[in-house]
Parts: sequence; C-alpha cells; structure tokens
Amino acid sequence: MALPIGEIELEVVGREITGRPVPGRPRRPYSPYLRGLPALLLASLLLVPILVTTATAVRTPDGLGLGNFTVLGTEQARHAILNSVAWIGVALALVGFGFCVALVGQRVPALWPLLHPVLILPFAVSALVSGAAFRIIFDPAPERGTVSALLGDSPVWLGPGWFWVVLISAFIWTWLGYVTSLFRAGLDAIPDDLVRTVKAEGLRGWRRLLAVELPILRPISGIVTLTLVVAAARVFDLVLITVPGPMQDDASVLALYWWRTSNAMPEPGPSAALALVLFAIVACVALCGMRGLRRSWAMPASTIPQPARSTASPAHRRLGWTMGVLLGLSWLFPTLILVMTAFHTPRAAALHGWWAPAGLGIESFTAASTAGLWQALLSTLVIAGLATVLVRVVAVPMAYLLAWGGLAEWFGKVVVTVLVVLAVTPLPMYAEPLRDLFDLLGLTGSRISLALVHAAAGLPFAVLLLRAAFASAPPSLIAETLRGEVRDSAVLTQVRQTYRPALIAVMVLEFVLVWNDFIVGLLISGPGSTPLSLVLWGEARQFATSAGTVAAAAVVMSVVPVALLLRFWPTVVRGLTVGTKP
Amino acid sequence: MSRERRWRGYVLWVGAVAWAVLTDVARDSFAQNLLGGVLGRVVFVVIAALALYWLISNPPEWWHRFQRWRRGEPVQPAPAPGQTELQSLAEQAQRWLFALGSDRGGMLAADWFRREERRLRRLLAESEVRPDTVDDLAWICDGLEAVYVRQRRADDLLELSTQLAKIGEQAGRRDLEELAAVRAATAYRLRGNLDEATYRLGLASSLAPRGRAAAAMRARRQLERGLIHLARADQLHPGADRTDAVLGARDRFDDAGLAIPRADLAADIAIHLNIGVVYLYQHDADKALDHLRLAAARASASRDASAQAHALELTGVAAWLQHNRPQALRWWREAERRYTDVDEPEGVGRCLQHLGSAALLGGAAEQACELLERSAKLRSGVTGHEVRERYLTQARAQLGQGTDRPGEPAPRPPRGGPLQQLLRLWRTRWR
Repeated sequence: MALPIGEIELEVVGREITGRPVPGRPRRPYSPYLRGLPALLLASLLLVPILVTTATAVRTPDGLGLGNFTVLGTEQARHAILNSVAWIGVALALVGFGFCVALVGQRVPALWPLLHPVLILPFAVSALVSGAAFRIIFDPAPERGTVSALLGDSPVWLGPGWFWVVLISAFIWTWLGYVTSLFRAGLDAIPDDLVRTVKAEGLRGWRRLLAVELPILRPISGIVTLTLVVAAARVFDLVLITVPGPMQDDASVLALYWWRTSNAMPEPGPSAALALVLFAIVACVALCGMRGLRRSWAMPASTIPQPARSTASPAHRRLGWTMGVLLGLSWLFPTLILVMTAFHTPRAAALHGWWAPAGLGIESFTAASTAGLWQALLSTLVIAGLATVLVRVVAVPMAYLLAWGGLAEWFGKVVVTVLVVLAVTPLPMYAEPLRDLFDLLGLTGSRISLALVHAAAGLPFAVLLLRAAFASAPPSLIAETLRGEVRDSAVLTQVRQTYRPALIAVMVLEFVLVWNDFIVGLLISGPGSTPLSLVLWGEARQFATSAGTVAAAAVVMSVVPVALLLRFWPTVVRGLTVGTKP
Repeated sequence: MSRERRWRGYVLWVGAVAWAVLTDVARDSFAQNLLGGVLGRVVFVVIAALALYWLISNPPEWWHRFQRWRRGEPVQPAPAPGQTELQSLAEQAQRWLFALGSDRGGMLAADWFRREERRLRRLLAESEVRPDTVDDLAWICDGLEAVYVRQRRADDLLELSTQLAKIGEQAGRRDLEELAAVRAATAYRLRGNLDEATYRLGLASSLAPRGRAAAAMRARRQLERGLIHLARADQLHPGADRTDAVLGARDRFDDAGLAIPRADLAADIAIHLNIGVVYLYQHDADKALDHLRLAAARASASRDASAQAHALELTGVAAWLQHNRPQALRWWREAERRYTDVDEPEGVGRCLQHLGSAALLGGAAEQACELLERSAKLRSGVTGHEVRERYLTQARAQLGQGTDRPGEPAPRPPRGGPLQQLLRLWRTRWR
C-alpha cells in the first residue's frame, strides 16, 4: 500500500496473523461482572416472587398438579381472559393507527410543532386521571356529561357494552402521543438519499411502506409494541375508575379478576394460577416482539436529525391540516374539561357540567387538600425520586455489562430474554409474595419498600434501553479499554455522557410511571405511604358526588409529570430512538 | 450376538446401575449433611445435571478409548507406511514455526523451511488424509503459510490453502476449512483481487464452527477484512471513499481486538501494528506512534523480532510524517538490521526501498539506485513493484541524464475508468 507523504510515497504494509489459531476466549477483566451484582439483587425482588407464585400455582394439597387452574373454567375467568386478549388487540391496533398519524404528521410538517405537545400531554397523566376525565365526559346525566348533553341520554355511554367505547377512547387518548412521536422520529431518520433511491426505483404507496419504511422502523415498532402490550395487559386502574361498579364484572380483565379472587379466596393457589396465565399471555407476546429488540434497537445516530421534508400534494396537505387541527382540538378537550371541573365547587361539579358558569371557585382544591392531597404529593415525590435514582444507579453498570462486558453470546441472549420477560411481568406475579415478605420484615407501608418494588419493576426496561444505546458506542473506545490503554471507569463516564438522552429517557419515564402508579401502591403499600393515586381513587369511589374533588386532585397530580415530560420529551424521544446526543 | 459384544453390553448396564446407586447414595448424603427438603433435592438434581453435562461435553480420553474399544476398533492404530516421516516432519515444522521470526532461531527456522519446503509440499500432496494424520498435515500447512505470508508469495499461499481446504473436507474438519478460506482470502488480497478475497471471508464466516479456537478465528477474519479495507483504500483516490475505507479498516481492527484470545500475543501485536497503519493513513503520526510503541514493546517482550522490525519500520514512516527525516532513516536502518537477523528478505527489501526513496529525494541518485536495485532483488513478492519501479526509473534517469528535478516523483499511472480520466483531463485543461 502506497502512502503519499508530501513529496514522497512510501510503501506501508499491514501485518497478518499466521500459524495455528490460538485456543481461548477473548480477554475480559472479571471486575465488570461485579457491575451486574446490584441489578441481580434488585431483580431478585421480582425473580424470587415469580418463582414462588409459579410454585404456588402448581402446588395442590395432593402435591404437584394443575388443580388450581380449574379457576380458569369459571365463566368470569374466561370472560376476563378474553377481555385481556382483546386489550392486547386494541394495543396492536393503536400501534397501526399511531403509525398512520405519524405518516400524516410527516406529510404536513408545519402542523407537527402544534400537534406534538397536544398529543404528548395525555401520556404524562395517569390512567386514573384519564379515566376520571373520560368518566366526566361520558357521564350519563345530560346536565353533567358533555356527550350526553350533546347527543341525548341514549345510548348510556357508561352502560353495558358502551363502556368499552369510553375505556378504549381513554386508552387511545393516553398512548397515541407516545406511539406517534416515536414513529415520527423514526420516519424522520430515514435518510434522504434512500428516499430518493426508492423513488427512482418506482416504489410507491404500500410497496414502499412494506419494502422500506416498515423494515427500517422495525426497531422502533418493537419498542412501541412492547410498551403498549405491557400497558394493555396491565389495564386495571382505568377499568376501576371509569366503569361504574355494577358493570365492572363485564369489563373485568385478568388483573382485576385476579385482585378480586385473591381477596375473596383464602387459598393462594387459584389467584397464583390466574397470575401465571396472565404472565404467560404477556410473556408470549413480548418474546414474539423480541425480534425487534435485537442488540441495537436504536436508529443510526448519523441519520438523525434530518430536515423536515414534505412530499405531499397541496390537496393532501390541506387534508392533513384539517385532520391535524381536529385531532389536536379533540385531544385537548379532556384536559380542558378536567381543569374546568376542578375550578368548580364540589357541589357545582356534582350538579352541573363543566360549562356551567355558576359555582366557579377553588373549593374543590380545598376539599382535595383536606383528603390528604399535599401529604400524598410529598410521599409520591419521595417514592418516585428514590425509585428513579435507584434505577439510574443500578441500570447503567448492568447495561454496560450487557453491551460490552464480554458475556458469552448465549448467556447474553439468556439475560436479555429474562429481562424482556421481567419487563412485561404483570404485578400479580410478584405482589403476593412481596407483600408477605414486607410483612415479615415489618416494612409494610414504608416508602422504601414501595420505591424498591418500583425500581425492580422499572429496572428491566431501563437496562434494555440503555444497553441498546451503549451497544452503539464506537468499538475503538471499548477495544482500548480491554487492551488496558484506557481505564474502564473512564469509558463508562464517556458512555454516560454520550448517551445522556437515553439516561434522561430512562429517568423521566421511570419518574412519570412511578408518579402515576396506582396498582403497585394499592397491592403493596399499606396506609403508611399513601401515594397520590390512592388518594384520588379514594375520592373517586363516590364519583357522582365528588367529581370536582377528583378533578382537582387529578389536575394537581398531573402538573409535575406533564411539566417534566413536556420539558424533556424531545430528549426522551431521542433517547428511545437514537440514544446519543445530537 | 457374539459373547464378547454381549459382555460389553452388560458392562454398560452395570455402569448405569452403579451410576444410579451412587447418585442415590450421594443424594441422601447431600440431603443429610448439607441441605434437606425439597430445596435440597432441587439443588442436588441441578448439580448432578451440571456434572453430567460437563462430563458429556468434555469427554476424557479414557471415554474415547472406551468408545473405540466398544466399537471393536484398535485403541492405538498402527502407523501407516510413510506416517513416521510425516509425524517427524510435522513435529519439526511445528517447532520451527514457533521459532520463525523470533530472535531465538528465527534465521535457522527460515533456513529449515527453505531447505524442507519441497519435501513438505510433497508430503502434503501425497499423504493420505486420516484422522491420525490430519493434524500433522495441518501443522505443515501452518508452517508453510507463515513462510509464504512473510515472503508475500500469494500463488503458493493460494495453492496451500486449496490443499488445506481439501484436507479439512476429507477429514470432516470445518475448522481447517475455515482456516483455509481465510488464508485464501489473504492470498487473493495479496494478488489484488479484493472481491474474491471478500467472498472467501464470507465463506469462512459461514463455515465457522464453534470451538475453542473460534474467538481466534473470528479475530483473524476481522483482521483480514480490515486489511482488505486498507487495500481498497490504496486503490482509491484521496477523498470521501478512501476515508471511509480507512475508517472501515479501523473498525474491523477494533472488532478483531475485541475477539482475540488472551494468550494470542502475536495477534495482539498485529492488531496494534495495523491500527498504527490506519493512523499513518490518516496522517496522525502521534496516535500511530502510541500503537507502534506498544506493539514494539510487546514484540520485544515476546522476543518476536520480525514484529519488532515491522514496528520499527512503521515508526520510521511516522517519523517521516513528523518531518524528522534523520530519525526516520535511523529507524529504517534498524528495522533492516532486525529483518536481516530473522532472514526476512521482504522486510529488508521494503526498508531498502524506503531508504532508497529518501536518498533520491535528498539528491543522492547513485545511492538511491543502488538501494532500490538491492530491494528489487530481495523482493520476490507480488506487491510493492509499482512504487519501487517508479523511483528506480527516476533514479536511473537522473544518473543517466541528470535532467529530472530531485524530489519530484514520476507521475503515477492514471487510475480509474474513462469517466475519471475525462475528469482528470478537464482538470488539467481548465485549472
């Protein structure tokens, strides 16, 4: 090889490796394995209870057997299973719908800055809050419910059958922004030269979608599908707050049925069997989705950001504008209603709709405060903060170990599979044994125990996300570490700095999820810790009379996560899709 | 069924029962002394299963002997005629391979291979491939490959790799087939056929079996890929494509660095040297020196004089890049001396070429001519002719006519297709 240096040209040759290949494994220092230890300890908070629940499900008074699974034979259980599967179907349909909205957003880029925050807003609020908003909108009384006032009192929206419309609307309202944002980031990341090549090849419409866009977006589709399936399988609080008591049996899902069974039956076996079935359904879907969650799910960093491009005709653009504006307004509507109801007195909110000018005031906030809102706010802040810090501290070294720690390939795959399964494990799989454990240790109702459970539940997703980001680090950096030229800690520091968006995404999502949590607080916590959502649910039990208080509590509860998510959302999207700084 | 075979069957059954009884006894003992109850049983079963898995996956020699005995095969097959010669030469080839390029018998090793090359090639061609001869044949291939690569004898290397592939195929050894494919890739690269070299590497990847040497082979494939990138960079004009090719080489060398086994010091040195070459291509002498110094130190520690000479040669190039010409000349002279010590004429020839080119630049055409002619005599390999011949022609022209300005090398023959030639013409016409 000739190397021109100034006025001379020198021949430079590389060096081959010759002779017999040397047997042995690549050099790896053993100290990185210690990095996985805190994660293992934290994850054992899930792993051990999962094993205990599995053992409980297959243990009968006569020994091992499937006797506990007879609980699935009841009509209610079959109904709950069908409903859970239907929810997963809803989640998958929402992924498709979100993709279409993202396509519209791409075709009309000018609309996106307006539509984007409006769509994201509901993602920041809890299922309880969105349930409360939709219950107010679809209240069957025409003097209170917006829809009933507009369309008349028939059909009864929260009555048999129709409550599904309300539930699914609330679910879509919450999650559409998340789906659309990620797909939009993915669509923007498709390189321009590829788009031009595809056009030159004559690929258009469906063929282009199937041949180019969908394969490129597979990593993002994987992460979106996984998140939504988990959310759909965990639907619990939404049903509890939105559907009136008498109808809850019809809307029952496996998690809800499990909760009722575990409270009603003295033996733990049947409820453990139900939890195991729920777990099996979710794990199957997640493992199928693992194809999209291969080593690096992040989009190539060099291709982001691309300048916004519009390829649509003026007619399409007008249509896109119209759709976008309508969608934006309808997405703002539930928030508006919630805020307006909160600024009515409890009495006015119980008697009139949000549009009534009479009864405006801040008494609903006072009532919520009397119900322990501020103490719950502080408590939730402590729990969410603790859990976030814990996840941050434990997940980073574990993700680094998985990405570059030199684990054997098969072992790495096993760990990732376990993490994917743990990430989607429904709470019923570990709630009972954990509650027993905390009882035994005298930690029931303590904020620390609740933060620990939240951190353990959030850890797998955080590790998977960070691992994908770290895996795209330049090999030269890691090679230098392994050769001993650079200290390991220096690399970790640089990786942490480079992949700050992924870290911020992990922390923000963990904080918001813990802040908005209801089910962990309900099943694990006692009266001591009182997270916000429990206070909200306590008020919502008499929904018709306390709509104002509920709305006020919901508004206060949503301020922090909404502010946090709107502030960091671009970074979160970047963290979820690329991982690195621009 | 013969009585003997029936008896062998009984032995198996007795063994199985004994295993079961021992397992039961051990389980009871485990339960009584260490961990009782269901958990104890589970732990015991897991330990027993792991032990059994380990035994099966690492069958000791006595088990192979037992298998052969059970199949009625002789436990130690009798050596075939000619096998004694094969074994003896293979052992010697193995010994001299380790000495090749080192400061402990490097010259003797090169001499031995020169003397025995024909005999080794004859044995490779004539010996029957059997399970008991395949390793000997492979060792001979290894030794010859090291010699051919050092001497840049691409055709011989290709022929050898074909023979090794045949041996691997006949013996059902995919590891040897993979090795042969990588060596064929090296040969094609040295001949300048980069597409075929890339294809052979793909073939090697598809053959790659799992085994104890899998990591080393992965490193070797990646390193060869990196060298192909560098060769491709050499064929391109300076620009984005060339930069990409050099960066691609860097990535491949880094991947190789992640894959090399702990004990493979020679591979480690080779990777440092190649990364040094990448930095030289990027005209970053400081970073190149970081790697070259490390390679030289490790080569010195492992007494690999050939690698040390290579590191010093490249250090000279880095010094030239830093405009430290006297130092560069000193490094090249030192490298030449070390190459001579281990009898590597290709390396000596390269250093003489550097010295000759430098002498030409300094106006010493006579000295340059002498050095370059010596280099031409020493270098029988397939690469490096173009640069050397260019400088040699220029030196001769200066000696004969004294018209050419020193330091201005003759123009390189035009590269690229008709479009690039048209562009070049346009540039010379309008600029």
